[in-house]
Amino acid sequence: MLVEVLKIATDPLVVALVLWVLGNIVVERSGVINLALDGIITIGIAVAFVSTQYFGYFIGLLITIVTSLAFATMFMIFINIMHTYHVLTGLALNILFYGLSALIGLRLQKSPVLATLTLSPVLLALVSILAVLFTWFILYKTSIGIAIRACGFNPRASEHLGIKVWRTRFLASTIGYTLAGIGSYIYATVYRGGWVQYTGRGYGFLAITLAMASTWHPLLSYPISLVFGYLYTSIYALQLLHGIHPEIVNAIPYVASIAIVTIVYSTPLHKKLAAPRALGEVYFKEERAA
Amino acid sequence: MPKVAIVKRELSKTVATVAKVLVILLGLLIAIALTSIITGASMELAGITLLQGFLNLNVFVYISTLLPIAVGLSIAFSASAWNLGAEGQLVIGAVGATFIALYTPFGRQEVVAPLMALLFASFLGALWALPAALLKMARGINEALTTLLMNFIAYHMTNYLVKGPWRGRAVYGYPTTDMIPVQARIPTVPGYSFSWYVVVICVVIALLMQLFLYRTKVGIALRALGSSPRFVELAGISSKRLFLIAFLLSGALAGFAGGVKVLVYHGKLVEGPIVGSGYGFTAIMLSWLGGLNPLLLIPASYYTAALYILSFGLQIGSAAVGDALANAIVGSLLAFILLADFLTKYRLVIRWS
Amino acid sequence: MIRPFLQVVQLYKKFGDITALNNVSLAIYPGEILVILGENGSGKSTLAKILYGLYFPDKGYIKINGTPVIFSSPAEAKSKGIFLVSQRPQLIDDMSILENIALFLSTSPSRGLRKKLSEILNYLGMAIDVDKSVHALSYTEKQLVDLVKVLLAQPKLLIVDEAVTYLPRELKHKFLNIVKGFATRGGSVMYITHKVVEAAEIGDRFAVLRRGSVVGVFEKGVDVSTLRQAMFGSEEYLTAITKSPVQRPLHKTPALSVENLVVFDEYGKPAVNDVSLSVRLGDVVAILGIAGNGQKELGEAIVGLRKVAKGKVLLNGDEITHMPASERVRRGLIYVPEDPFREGVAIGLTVAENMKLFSQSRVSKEILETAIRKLEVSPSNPLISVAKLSGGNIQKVSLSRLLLNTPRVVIAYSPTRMLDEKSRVLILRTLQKLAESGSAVLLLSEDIEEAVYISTRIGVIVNGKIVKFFEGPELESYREDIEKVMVHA
Repeated sequence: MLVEVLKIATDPLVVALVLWVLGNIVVERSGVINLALDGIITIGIAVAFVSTQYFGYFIGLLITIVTSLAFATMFMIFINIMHTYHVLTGLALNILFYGLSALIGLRLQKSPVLATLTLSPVLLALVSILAVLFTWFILYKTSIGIAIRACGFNPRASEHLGIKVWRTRFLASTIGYTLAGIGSYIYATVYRGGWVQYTGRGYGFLAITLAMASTWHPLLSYPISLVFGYLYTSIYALQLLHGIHPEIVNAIPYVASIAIVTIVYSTPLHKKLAAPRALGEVYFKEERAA
Repeated sequence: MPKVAIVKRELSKTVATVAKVLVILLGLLIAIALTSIITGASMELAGITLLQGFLNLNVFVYISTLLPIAVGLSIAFSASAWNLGAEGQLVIGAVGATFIALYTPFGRQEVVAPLMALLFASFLGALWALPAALLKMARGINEALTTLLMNFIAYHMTNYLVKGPWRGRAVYGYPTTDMIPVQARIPTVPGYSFSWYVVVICVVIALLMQLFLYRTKVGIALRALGSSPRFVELAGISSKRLFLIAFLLSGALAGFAGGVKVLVYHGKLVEGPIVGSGYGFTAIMLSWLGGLNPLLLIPASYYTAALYILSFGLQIGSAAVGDALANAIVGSLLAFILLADFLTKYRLVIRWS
Repeated sequence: MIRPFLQVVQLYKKFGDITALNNVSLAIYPGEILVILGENGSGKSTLAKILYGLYFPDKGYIKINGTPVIFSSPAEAKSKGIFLVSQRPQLIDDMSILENIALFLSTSPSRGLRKKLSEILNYLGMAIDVDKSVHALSYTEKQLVDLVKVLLAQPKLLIVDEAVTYLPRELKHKFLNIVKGFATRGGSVMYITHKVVEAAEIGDRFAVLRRGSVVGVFEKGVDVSTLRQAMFGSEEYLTAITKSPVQRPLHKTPALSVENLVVFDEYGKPAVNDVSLSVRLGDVVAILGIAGNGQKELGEAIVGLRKVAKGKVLLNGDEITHMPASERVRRGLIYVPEDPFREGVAIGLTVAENMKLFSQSRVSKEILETAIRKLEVSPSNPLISVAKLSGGNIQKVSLSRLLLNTPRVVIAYSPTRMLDEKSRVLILRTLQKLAESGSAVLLLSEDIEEAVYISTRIGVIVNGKIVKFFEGPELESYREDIEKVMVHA
């Protein structure tokens, strides 16, 4: 059992997933439905892959983070300044980002493979555990985090209390997408070491679903990500053992993530934990209402 | 230091329309510029290709799938039912049509076969949308998310079918089914892969849905559901039932489009991402371009089709580049529509203090 | 000559076609309490929101100690020492009292803050655990926290927007004393209210707002009738309503009855606790309570927008406790919501489309036009989008549901809040006429004046329980008693 857990916790794919989930938690805690995550992950992976080929691992990491932040800022400008629908904006930018990621990868790659970066399993596990603790500390123990959560609960009252909602949301996206960028980098260089068109598409949606399943709580998200990671990695073993068709195996994570969310939301547990109530609400400061 | 604030504004309909037209023209420019940058073709060539796209009868290939999906999505989005799963519903519709054509006795009966296939495709499309609607109603799980995940499931299921049990005997190991019987296919215009019958049906669907949304009580209530479910309940109309209607209608119309793809275009079932080819997402852009108005979707789908021809028309890049380019154009266009929405609904006040 | 702390210079603010503030100029001096007096919808709150940076003015600006400024957020107003306590508490329900206060003061929830907070709460006679979540507090406690947070911030200008109007008497006195003390130490206070007598007691100077304009500024010692005259113009609005004859024939069996109803709020706390009442055809029953005491939840539970935990709701003797709202509406239980923008109309649709949805049968053009004429909706074009109408007219469109159907039971929740005088009269009259023509009317409100004028019976709800019913031909004479019961926490 312990060995199993360790194996999952040190799996680079799971580590990347944990970082994506955490990044999403920070962003959605500020009240923004973060569908653009999927496109930004896809771009992040393409950028990590290409920039590492040109500039090496370290500069590659920096470039990946900066690119993720730049596109996240674009998303936030739409949501907070243009007051667009969260879901629609996320989707629009995703389509654009998928296209850009493919163009970056197709046009700029030197070769379709990359020597994977070997990190010690302990370091990988440590990265994800530290990220969990960091996210928890930021969200629950600092004034920035309290402000972020306040915006997710009730942006109008937050504004009254003197929080600049849009600025707080930009800050949340900066913290969240730094984590997500690191996740994309680990996926590209440590786990995958190769790139084909649209590599990474779909992980963003999985991460959003897992964040929802953990009721946007960082500490709860870790075990949930591990359970999901266990399913994810062990189904490939299932395939080998029982000869299940690989396409069926590929569909299982999506079915499983829907199942996990449904299970959590069928128990009274999620009512006990405070979810960001204003998630997805288009917040306009001067809204005319009684 | 200047102070900037965002306040609401009321624009007259004419000004708002002019803004929309500007976005449409701007979209063409973006498309030309992006194409020329990415494929390395000159701006002139890209421009000419685009103009030819508008005159090319192949626009109807795209219109006959994009239009019905977008009409369905307009209904869903008017009701704030965020069905982002048209892609998957389309793919499953294609599976349904293939099933009728290849695996039931109807498949070899003239007229009956395509009709049955289209009906069953619509039914499966609606069925594929159902779980997301139910999870939303019963557990409050965000339907945008579940429908997006269902897209991936649809892709993989279809891939499984064409690589596994449904793989054709005469396809030499390619991941497709056998061709469907001739009786099940809808006759196409010679030299093109579209059918006038289908084009006419699509236009009729758009007109009917226009009447439905603006002339019937249920349709008006669907549009009201977008502003407030409580309002609709207090007017004595069940908001749950309306939500379900919006979801199932949009799923059915996407499924219908999937049926069209198999019966008219492919003639067989192919891998999921190829059947879908992102039409389910493009239709989302299209429905906003048409302002969620089924009637306006007819010209809007024509416009979008021409952009598609441009993306794939310049044979300089590979198919992969063409797909990436189409995504980039569709995505940036939708972003521009959102920007135009912002500029017509709000204005910036800049004050120097 | 003392220099004013703050000057308002020709402020102008429009919402769509409605002018909320029209060329307003004022000055507030250090050490004074300036009362802003005005009816609902006169622009008082808009002014407060501009001063606190929540709204951005279309024209005009503010001067602080002579320097012109425009705020684009409350954070900026706070940094200049301007603080607002709003009509309704603005707190994050999901967070603790301490976290809320820390957010407001932009500090961390430290031990020192905890101590200071407990001290001031104790002084006010409210020993509340500061780690308690705000949602677990009663409405009065929330108001208290909202006031306390401002006192901890060392303001220079304190704007109090109707925030103490409905506090329990002793607490209100304590607060007014704190406010007065603050002013004598040199602070400025802007005290916003619609209660003339109360205003006259506390104010040093009075500015009266009507329809967005300052119609008069008065010094201390002005008599109440002068203020009232300035506020209402020539006539006092409620005199326009004639008291309904009490000897109306009433049916014996109730059209609506509620038995031992228990309803929970979003956080699982009982918002309505064991409430029973009944309304007969031809009757107007009012349930009065200060906002947040459960009348909203009561109304929503009766119409089916909120789940009932225990108890029964009967319509014409049939149990409807767990029916969806739409089904109840079809059975003739019509609900008029408080917020016309979000629940009363579909803002993107036309007037005609909204009315079509309200009616349970087909609407002909004539019926539509009659409804528009009777309600005096302006402009009267049925094909115009509702978004283009003013707040009062939007509420009238929402009310057309009463004319387009023959309601058995009407439930109206604060239907006149934020409306101008004329629209209020029209709405109250409509409710009255419905009762006269045989409907049962249940009015849920915090406005005593309206209730005593049109009701035959008044129940007072405090903390989710109806604590007392008032009945009889001379309801007006109970006004004082009703208020006493309402604020007795």
